[in-house]
Amino acid sequence: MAQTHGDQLAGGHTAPQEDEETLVQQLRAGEEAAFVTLLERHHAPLLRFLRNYLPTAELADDIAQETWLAVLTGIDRFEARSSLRTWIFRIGANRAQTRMRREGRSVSFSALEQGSADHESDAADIEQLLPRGFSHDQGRWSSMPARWEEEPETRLLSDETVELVRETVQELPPMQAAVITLRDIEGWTSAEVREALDLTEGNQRVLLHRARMRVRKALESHLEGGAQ
Amino acid sequence: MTSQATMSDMPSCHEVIQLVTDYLEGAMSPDEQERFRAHLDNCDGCGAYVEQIRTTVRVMGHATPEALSPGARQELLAVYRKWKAESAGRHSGLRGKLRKLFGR
Ligand SMILES: [Zn+2]
Repeated sequence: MAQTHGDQLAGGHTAPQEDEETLVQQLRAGEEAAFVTLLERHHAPLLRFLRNYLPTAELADDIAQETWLAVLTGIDRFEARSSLRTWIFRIGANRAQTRMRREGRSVSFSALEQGSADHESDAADIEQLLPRGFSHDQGRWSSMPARWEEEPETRLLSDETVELVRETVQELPPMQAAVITLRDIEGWTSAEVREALDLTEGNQRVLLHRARMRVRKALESHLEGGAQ
Repeated sequence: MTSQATMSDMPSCHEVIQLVTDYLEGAMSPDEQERFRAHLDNCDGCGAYVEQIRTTVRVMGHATPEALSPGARQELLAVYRKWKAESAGRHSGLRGKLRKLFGR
């Protein structure tokens, strides 16, 4: 229990390679506690990721279960060429795709399609997402943006603010939500995210950028009041 | 703002806003990075904006990951135990066959 608490305090921002190696060994040795640790760390984000793509919550639950079973049966073959958590997510993405194909529907995790799908809606949004005080027509600041870093911690990190951030992320387009969740909430490296979601470096960055722009905008309304 | 000559080497405010993630992700060439920094040195608005993005990322880091629900925990542990029992069964089944084959 103390272990779990420590992980939560760190905000999941640790990706210790050695720690994963130990977990893999324990899992191979059939230690249930190692499986529980993995579930505690990765099940919720995995499920959220799958729910973004699949038509029903039941199907996402189903694929998540299938993923964990595949992790158990495949752990002996896991070669640590990727990190354990990226491997788990890749299994999830593959299973989801396979299932959708079998049901005659297509679901795309490909960066290209996702990127262009996001692109169209984003073109109209760009102006809307610009920071307050920036004049798009004049291309300069008509008033200075607020210094958020000078806000008291109690306000910046209040439950209310953090909840707002979480809600905003949930409303993002699926791929943006996946990228920003893994990068900024779960604390994965960009290399891990690219590998887990099968993204190029450039696409990962574009998705992260768009997601952060939207979260920044939401924070702006929250911290500075709704009026323009 | 500084003179046109120095500003012309730098990205515009609009470009800074759009390139902030490339900058924070370390995805710029040393040259681009230098020009980006030079803009920030000369433009308070963009400086404050970049800090807003940094603050956004910091707040995100405090949105602790969702916890595993008790229901999911129960269900997946059941999956684990079933899998373990079955794989143990498979192994002992194999051992049984080998025993028969080799008379021990
Ligand atoms: Zn500027």
